[in-house]
Amino acid sequence: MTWLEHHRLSERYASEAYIASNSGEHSRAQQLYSLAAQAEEHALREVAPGKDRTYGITAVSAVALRFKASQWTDARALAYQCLASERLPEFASQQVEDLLQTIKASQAGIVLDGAQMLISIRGGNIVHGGAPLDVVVGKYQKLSSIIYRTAEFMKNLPHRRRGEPSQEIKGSYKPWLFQAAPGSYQFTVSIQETRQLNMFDITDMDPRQVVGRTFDIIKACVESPSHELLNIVQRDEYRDSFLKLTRDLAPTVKGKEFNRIEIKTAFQATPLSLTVNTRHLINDAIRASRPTSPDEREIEINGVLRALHLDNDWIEVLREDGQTVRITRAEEDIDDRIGPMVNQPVMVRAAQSGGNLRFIDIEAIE
Amino acid sequence: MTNPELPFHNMAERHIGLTEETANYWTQGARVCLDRHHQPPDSVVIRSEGRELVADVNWEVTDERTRRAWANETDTTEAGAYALVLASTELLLGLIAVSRAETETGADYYVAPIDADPDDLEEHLRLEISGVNQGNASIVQRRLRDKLDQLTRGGSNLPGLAGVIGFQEKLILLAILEQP
Repeated sequence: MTWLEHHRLSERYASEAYIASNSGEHSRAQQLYSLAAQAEEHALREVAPGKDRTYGITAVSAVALRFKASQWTDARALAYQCLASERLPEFASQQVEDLLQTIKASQAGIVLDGAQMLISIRGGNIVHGGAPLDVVVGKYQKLSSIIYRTAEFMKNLPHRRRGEPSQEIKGSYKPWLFQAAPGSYQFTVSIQETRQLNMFDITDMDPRQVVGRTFDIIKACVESPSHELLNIVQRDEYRDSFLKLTRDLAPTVKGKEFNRIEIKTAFQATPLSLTVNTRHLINDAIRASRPTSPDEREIEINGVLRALHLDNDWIEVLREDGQTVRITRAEEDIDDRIGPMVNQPVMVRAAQSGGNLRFIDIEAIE
Repeated sequence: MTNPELPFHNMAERHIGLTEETANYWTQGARVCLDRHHQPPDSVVIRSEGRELVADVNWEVTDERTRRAWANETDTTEAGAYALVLASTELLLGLIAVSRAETETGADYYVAPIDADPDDLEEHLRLEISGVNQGNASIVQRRLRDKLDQLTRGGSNLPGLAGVIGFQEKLILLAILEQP
């Protein structure tokens, strides 16, 4: 049989497996994926010399099919075999490496439970097995802020502008950081329920629900900030906070440190990707929700955030030309966003009217 | 002059890389997506590389049971997007799905001209598809940019084609990326 004949057979089994899996027939899906993997491995052996792109695509497909059939040992063996081949093009090599990480995590029994999110940071300065500590810590803190806000939102608590979440919320929904796989740049954020609350009835808010809702909110911010987000977060002040916190999770416009962050939960087969475009999309939504008045014009101020006094309603930015600019009416923003930006490069959007600058928005830049 | 019809029914008869089950599955998903916002008959705008075409869209309205079976919005939007974006590449660019290859989280489809040699994947375009259930033209445009970034990422398995449909907006955007 030729490459094409083996590949066609694999496609047929894989298509059937995909439909079986989506219909909840997981055992049948695994059997079909196994048959598809066998056929794809045969196809791999028949790829003609010089057809390296075909070889690479077929190799990734064969490893992925073994993985989907839950045949971890076979999947790993095949992955190493492919990586050792001089024929494997770069794009395929990266995909096989990524698959290996996932296979190792699966083999180690790391299965996401409902209260966990798997975070992957990719591109830029990120390498396999390593990421700058400040990036990882920063993203963990942002994600924690979103989780706490989600718990507060679900409890219908007043929107918090100052300070940290209450001890009750922190005690009950404290996010923990776990390394997802040895040597990986992936990590897991998990809510560990540490103690029960007295002041709330928490029977309707299990950590799995908080994580599920957090994911739904981030997804709506990323994919449909002007429509779906309105459906699931009706309160304006919470919606504004979620939009900005989600934007803070996404890579900056330059994408030098990293250019993609992926979030996965036990309930979603496909990870949610936050890219540079996420920032643009959310900025458009924020801008649309905060129009300037006819006597104002919107300006951008780049510099370092030097000082803030949120009770007195102002922030100060040291511009690159050495001048300090004060922007007023920053009351609409919140501590858990602006606090970590002090002494960091920022871009502030403000509405200028005469000599006055009215705060619109602030984001960290590279 | 009448508009051409968007060919998203019986796709397996023309797209040799699709099985009948997969094609019918996607077509059904597309009908559910269209039912969310529109009533048949209707039309969509397809744009690609400076070209624009208005195509008629006809479908049978889904019943309650079918809609319940497609309760997961993400899965439905994905399936519907596959059907309508592939139908658009066929109509506007003369490209059909010729092959499927698995990836970690799903599968990539490869498209080629109807008379192309299917013996290998050297010149075929990898297809990146996405769908936006709700959202205006600028959101569809942003999603297309995301998909183009995805195509060029890493070692770049190019050439590729990105296609995004905005179901509410009735807009399909296509863009081709060649090897640099």
